[in-house]
Amino acid sequence: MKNIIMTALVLLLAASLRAQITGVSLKAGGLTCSMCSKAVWNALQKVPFVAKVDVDIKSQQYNIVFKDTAAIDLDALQKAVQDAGFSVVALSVTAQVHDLAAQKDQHLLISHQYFHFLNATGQQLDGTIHFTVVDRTFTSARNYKKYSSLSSMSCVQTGKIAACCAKKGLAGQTRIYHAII
Amino acid sequence: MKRLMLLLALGWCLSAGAQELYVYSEPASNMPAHSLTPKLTTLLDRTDRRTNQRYMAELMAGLSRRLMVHVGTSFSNMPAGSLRWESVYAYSKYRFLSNDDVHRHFRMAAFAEAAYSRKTVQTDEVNFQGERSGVQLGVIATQLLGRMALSATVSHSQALDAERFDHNAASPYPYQSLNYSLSGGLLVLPFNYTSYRQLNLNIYLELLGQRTLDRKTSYTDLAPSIQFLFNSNSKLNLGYRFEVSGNQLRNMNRGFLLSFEHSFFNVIGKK
Repeated sequence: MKNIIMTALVLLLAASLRAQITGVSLKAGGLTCSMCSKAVWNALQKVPFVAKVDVDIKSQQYNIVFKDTAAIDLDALQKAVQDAGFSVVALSVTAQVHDLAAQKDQHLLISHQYFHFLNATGQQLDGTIHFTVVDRTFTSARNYKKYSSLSSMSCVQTGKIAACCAKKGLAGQTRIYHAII
Repeated sequence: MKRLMLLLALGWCLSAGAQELYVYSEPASNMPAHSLTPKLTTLLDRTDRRTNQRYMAELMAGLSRRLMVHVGTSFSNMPAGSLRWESVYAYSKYRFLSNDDVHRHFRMAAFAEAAYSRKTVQTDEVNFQGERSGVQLGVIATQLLGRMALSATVSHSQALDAERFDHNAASPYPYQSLNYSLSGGLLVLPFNYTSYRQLNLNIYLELLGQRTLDRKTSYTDLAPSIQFLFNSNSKLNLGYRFEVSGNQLRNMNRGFLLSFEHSFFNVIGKK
């Protein structure tokens, strides 16, 4: 029995270690002029784990490439845009995963960050996946209202792990990103 | 045909790109946090007797995404005839509301200004960029919609020049005012954004007015202007402001404006 548990844990760890964010595409809102866009671009470039930012000024889309070994923090990207004076209205993530089961109301580890897929139906994820983060600070008010109703768990409102899941070995203040896949 | 042209123009206005970086007033938006912008302004008005001139140097800093401050100083040849240092002023703006969406926003900010002028009171205008000492408090609302931006400002000024409190002087000038402005801006160039190095051209039309509250005087000015943005970090403004109605005695009731500013991003505070 112990061997089975050990093997399961190792496999789980291995699966999560192999789940990596390979890129992020962010759309900024509240601006149209190129000077404002340049302020956002500069702010994103300054984020320590960002290697390069490719921008489409017309659509306000910022495609971010990360430094190889750096720890990614999605909140830091949002804060950079906010400090420049604007907001994130859409953030889509591209990740590489291996045999990751997207169960409803489960917290999945990708690049050392926890994700909660609000529209998960238990599908098996493998290879390149794309998903959109729909936390309050990553989308428009309209979208947040629409997607947050898909789950009744309190982490959707707070962005932090609630007591219901904390006992499964996760810390009380862990950040959970809510997404649509 | 006319209707089609109007619709096309409106459609173009509402598509990508717009400006709310007004020449004669401030928008509700702030500078990016950690940025620093020095600015130089020249005001010129050629009259029969001489050319009235005012020169202003300002430094603007974004302290956080909600708060920015300016400090400035001015020199002019009014009324003396020779160029002299006249005032120093500080301005701060706090953005308290921001509703953002793609290519649009509605924002509101509150601002406060304090100025000191060494000049004696000789005109009706309650102006804190050279003429008077005092304080001003106001509110700005800006709506960005694609290529267009509209802004409204209302403020209250209290001039605190020494003459106001000298009961022996019996000053005939006003010391309190209600100020307002209505500004519109339009992004003209580029037609399509492809790079930060493209030249941006914006045009503005602003209505600026004042009504003094203690002694009844007023003015209403119109100020069209044109703005060039270089490399998405420098601005060159060219404007002409003129009085359309009013009964105030003013040092400058019309004139050309030429100003230049350059923004340095991520240079102050936490990096």
